Parts: sequence; structure tokens; C-alpha cells
Amino acid sequence: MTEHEVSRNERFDAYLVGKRSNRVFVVDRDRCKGCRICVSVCPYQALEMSREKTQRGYFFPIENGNCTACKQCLYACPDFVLSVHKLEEVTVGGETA
Amino acid sequence: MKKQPRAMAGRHLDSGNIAVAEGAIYAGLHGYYGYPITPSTSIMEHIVKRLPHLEEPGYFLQCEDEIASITATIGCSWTRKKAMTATSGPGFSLMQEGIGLAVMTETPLVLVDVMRGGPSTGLPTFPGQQELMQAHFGSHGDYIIPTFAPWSVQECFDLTVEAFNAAEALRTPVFVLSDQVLSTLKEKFVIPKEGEMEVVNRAHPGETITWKGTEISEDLVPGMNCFGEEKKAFSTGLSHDESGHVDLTAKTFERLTNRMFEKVHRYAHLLPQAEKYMMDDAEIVIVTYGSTARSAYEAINLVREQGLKVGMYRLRTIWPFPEEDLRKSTEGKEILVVEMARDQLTWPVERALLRRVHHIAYPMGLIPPPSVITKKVREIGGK
Amino acid sequence: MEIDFSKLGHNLEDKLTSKMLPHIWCSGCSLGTNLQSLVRGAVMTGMDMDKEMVMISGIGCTGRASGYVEFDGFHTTHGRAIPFASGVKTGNPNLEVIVFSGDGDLFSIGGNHFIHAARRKLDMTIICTNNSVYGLTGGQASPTTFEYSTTTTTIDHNLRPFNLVDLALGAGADFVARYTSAHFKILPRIIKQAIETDGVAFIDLISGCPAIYGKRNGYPTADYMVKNFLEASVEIEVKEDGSHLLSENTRVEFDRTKGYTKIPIGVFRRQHR
Repeated sequence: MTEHEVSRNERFDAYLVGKRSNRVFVVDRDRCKGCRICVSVCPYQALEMSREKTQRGYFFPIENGNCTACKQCLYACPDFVLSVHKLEEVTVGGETA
Repeated sequence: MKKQPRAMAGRHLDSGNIAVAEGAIYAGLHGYYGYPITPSTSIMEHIVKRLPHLEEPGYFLQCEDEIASITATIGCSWTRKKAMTATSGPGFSLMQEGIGLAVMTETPLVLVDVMRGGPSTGLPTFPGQQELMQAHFGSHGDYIIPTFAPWSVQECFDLTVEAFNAAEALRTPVFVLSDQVLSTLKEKFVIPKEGEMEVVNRAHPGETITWKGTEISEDLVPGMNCFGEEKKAFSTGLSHDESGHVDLTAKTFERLTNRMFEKVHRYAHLLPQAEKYMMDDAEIVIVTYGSTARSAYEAINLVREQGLKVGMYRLRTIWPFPEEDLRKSTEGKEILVVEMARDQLTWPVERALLRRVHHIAYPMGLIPPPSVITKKVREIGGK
Repeated sequence: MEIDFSKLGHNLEDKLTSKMLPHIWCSGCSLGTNLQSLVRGAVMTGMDMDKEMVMISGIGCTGRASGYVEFDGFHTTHGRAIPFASGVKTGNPNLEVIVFSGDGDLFSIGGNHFIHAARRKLDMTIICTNNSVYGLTGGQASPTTFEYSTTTTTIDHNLRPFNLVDLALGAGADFVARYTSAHFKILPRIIKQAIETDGVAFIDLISGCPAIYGKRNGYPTADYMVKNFLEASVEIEVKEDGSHLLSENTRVEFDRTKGYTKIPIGVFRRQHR
């Protein structure tokens, strides 16, 4: 993974974030209802809303490279969409979370 | 204070309400939730003297209203403890909401309804039998709740123990319909020693239990996962799947409600059976229950002396109604229904027999005296 | 390095009933935030959510919350979460009982149960998601709907709302706090304190219903709602003479064009004297 790398599957967007690029910020698109609370609470303006919609018809947040993995949005999210993981816990062959 | 035993084994002279309370404690009662209402209050007053002082103390809570009582009873039951409440007329009306919840969440509990005259505040200190239909149709939705009716103080004890067993074995609320006469009437009753009467405890998940020698099918009565145990225990008054989670699909709802009916009907033969008194040669059969049956019993003995062949079919389980048994045992006989209500017991009886029956409606807050019954019987018998 | 997607999921995923998610609540509803704060508070206490805690909810949007988390739980009939909790607590006093319900459920149909629970002091934690509206039935006035706000049943005006903090203080609750759903940073700690309180702990959790109530009453979007909550919140100053507990000092003020204008927040009482 290089800096500000993102990997996606049909459900998750996973962004490599943090000062030392050792955290993974995850958006669970299946659960997102596009309320924008995460965008408004982010102290680093690291989130913006997507232009395309999820399968269920909502816009969802995308990370723009400013994320420090401070977890504010995670705590504010009413839909259990966002999460922050340690990189080594979610990589293939890494230790289990 | 000295610790009290659960079973106060021996002979007692006391009222029906005391017998109900002792029956509940014998059956392993832990939580009693109640609200004062005549004529059920003395159950509560006796429980409070006994329950907190047992070797394994139970809990008594006087709630703010009957709705709270029944809901707290359900709450207690979900901690795998036996719980009950008792009430009368207006309180029974308030409890209908909680009864529906108990049915839907398959919660074992016992509700003793000491019937009095209604509607509304009606006749608080006089007997009635006007809650028979309410016990079946009181709450909204389709359901069936096993309902027992004692006629003596001894039966107040016995049927309360049976009620707890049925509730635990079938995971259902169970009603005991007592009435004002039994609540204050004092007569002899015997409490057996601990262990002499069967006491059933509900199944854990994946476990089957036997009740009266019959194995209860796990498919019909799933083991109960209670609070504080291994898995997440959850249930809801909404339509739900086997894990207790909301599922509003027609298929799930049908499966759930079908099972709720099926479990009560399949094991109906284990519920207390009707008592048949002098039925073999009877030409006229009095169908009745509760304290009214005491009067009918006296009346039968009186008219038998005069040569009229009269018998009695005394219901002990009212719901589910023993249609088959009643039909078989009264074939070709005249039927007389006696009740302290305007027109309630006649409904299931006529439905079972598919014909009109003779009727004594006595809804004025008194037990019909034997003379009223003998007069009617003579009329029917043509003497 | 490659991401293993099977390992992804919410950080609290093992505390959530995943098969029930996404939940039924509207976009921007505060309930999800409140529920997450509750779970985080419960985790902070160090208790086993499944074996030592029971979460009971009533009817309404909030009622569905107990189905989404791995607490032992029960979804009771309308307004009866507190009596049910009393039954659970007396049935097994080792269980920590949490009542999580809405303002209509707890204070309209269940109002009587609340004051008696506060009087009786059985150990339980009552968290009221107070969004001033009946959401699930489509936006009718609740006991906490403000005087000049619009709902489907209060077109021109409404009668005076309950001040829930005042009510809880008066009824004798042992722990009384008010926060908003936007205080998700401090809320878990407050919820932990509430759970650890011996006796009745009550948290008035001012929440928003932007989809039904907010759009008619001055906070049309969820992000505006969160900002509004934070701007309108005023931390109470604890005074020697107890004047911070007076009804006029604990009242929530609301303007139907701007949303909330004053929300006194903080812990009003810790243990009843």
C-alpha cells in the first residue's frame, strides 16, 4: 500500500490513514444512510460526500487524505458505518483482530 | 425471623385465597407482583408474610397498577424464576395488554383472577363468573391460554400447583379463575409434603422435559433462553423468529402462532380433566364450574332423592374447552348450564354440542341457591 | 499488503446483532449514536453485556434498539419497559438493568411507572432518547414537544412540555443527567457512572429527529442538528445554594425557526441525599 491508498469490495471502502499510515479507515457502504453527520463532526475536514450512490440509494462519505484516525466520526455515526482498525489486524496473513 | 419452609405440609383450615398463595409457594414461586383489589388482595397479603421469609427468599413487589404488575411478572419470569400475579375484574381488564405480551413471548406465568361482578367497578365484594370469555378473548389477537377453575379450597391449592406446572411445561401464561366465594370461604385443605406433588421446571435450550410422564416436544415448546445465561436472550411482542428477533413476514408469523395454538391443544389431555358426578345414569346434566358447582352439587343430591336422574359435568379446565369430552359424555342427555353470568358458559357449550341448552343465568352477585337449580331441573324433567 | 475484507466490520461488531443491521431508523436519526454511546458505556464498565446486563426497551423507534445489540434484551409493550425492568431486577438482582426508551414511551404512557421507579429505587438505569416527537407513528406531539413547535397534532400551538430533569429530580431519582446525542465523547463515561449508580439513574438524552420533527421545526438536516446541539448546550454551574436545580435553570428552550436555543447539560444529581 502506498500513501492514501484505498481498497474496495462490494461492501467496504478501506483507506490507509494516520500519521504513520498504520491505520485503516473503513466505510461500510451497505449500512450508510447518507446523513452527513460524519462530514460535519470531522475536526480535520477529512471527509466529503460521494457523487455516486450506494445500492440502497444514499450518498456515502469518502476520505480525502486528511484523516488522522481520531475516531470522532465513528462515535458520531448513527448507522455503525465507520470504523478504524490497526493495519496489521486487517491485512491478509496479519494477526487476527 | 425464623426461615419458613416452602411446603407448610399438613391440614389447614383457611380460605381459598390462602390456598392459592400456598399452592404458588409450594410450586416454587419466586416473584409476586400485585396491586390491591378486592377480592384478590388476601393472596398478596399472605404472600408477603411468606415469600420473603423462605429459606430461598422470593421477592414481593406492590406495583403502581395492574399493568405494571403483569409486566413485572413477565420480567421476573425471564430470569428463569417462577412468577405470578393475582387480580380481579377491573384489574384483569388492565392486565390484558400484558397477557398478550406474555403469550407472544411465550412467557410462563400464573395469573389468578378472583372473579367478581361487573362490568366496571360492578360488585367488588360479591361473586361473579363474568370473566370466562375475557380469559379467552380479552387481549387482542388470536391466542389460547390454559384456564383452570377450582371449586373448593383444596382445589384452589391443587390447581395453582397444576397451573405453575402447565405454565412451565408449555411456556405459556396460565389463568386460575377463582371467585369471591372461594376467596373468603374457609374449609379444610391439605398441603402435601415437599416432593409429593410433581413440580415442573421449564426447559433450558436444547433440553426436553417430561410432565406427567409425557415428554414435551422441543419443536412445540422450545427451551427458554433466559437473561444472564449463555446466549443473547431476546424476545419481542412483535412477530419474531426462533431467535426472538423481529421478523414480520407472513411465513414466520404463521409458524409462530400455529405453534402457540398447537402446543396447548396437543397437551390438553394433561390439563385437569372435568369432574363427572353421577353422570352414568343421568338424564339431565348440569354443566357448570367454580363455586356455582357447589350449589349444583347440593341440588343434585336433593333432586336425586326425588327420583330425578341428574348428574354434573364440572369443568376444571375451561380453556381450551373440552368439546370432545363434553360431547361424548352428554350424548342424548338434557343439558342445563348454570353460571353467575348472563350468557358466557353457554357459548362454548352450545358450540361444542351444536344445539340449544337449558340455562340458569344468575349474574346478580350471588351464587344461585340450590332451590333455583332444583326448580329448573324439575321443570326440565317434567316433575 | 492486501486488506482482508472478511476482517472488516464495525469496531463494536461483536457487540452488535449484525443480522439485524442496517437498522430501521431514518437517515440522521440520533438513536444510532445514542445506542453506540450506550454500548461504549457498557463496555467501559467492564461487565459482560450478555451475562450481566439486560437492556429493555418500550415501543416506538427507540423500542427497536434492544434488538440491535448483544445485550440480553426485551422489547416490551408501549410504556412498560420500567415495570418489566423491575421484574427482572427483583427476579435476579445480580443483573444490571438498563431501560432504553423514548420520551413518549417513558413519559406519556409510562409516566406513572417512571415516578414510581424513582420513588422505589430499585437499581436501574433509565436512558430517555428525548426527541420531542412520536417518530414511528409519523410525527405526533409528545410530552416533551415544545410550546410553539409544529407536529401533525399541534398545528398552531402545543401545551407546556415536561422538563424531564425537573421531573426526575422531583420524583427522587438518584442520578440525574442531561446531555445531547452530540456529546458522544463524554456520554459513555456518563452512562458508565449511571450504570454504576446504586438506585435509579436517569439520563435525559436530547436527541433529534430531523426527518420528521426537525424539518418542521428548525433543524432540517442531521449535520445542522449536531451543530445546533453543541451550540445550544450550556454546561450547568453547580451552585452552593442549589439554584442550578431550579426548574427555570434546567429548562430546555426551543425556537421553531432555529431549533434548540438553550440546553442546560451536565450531571444534576449524583446520589440522593
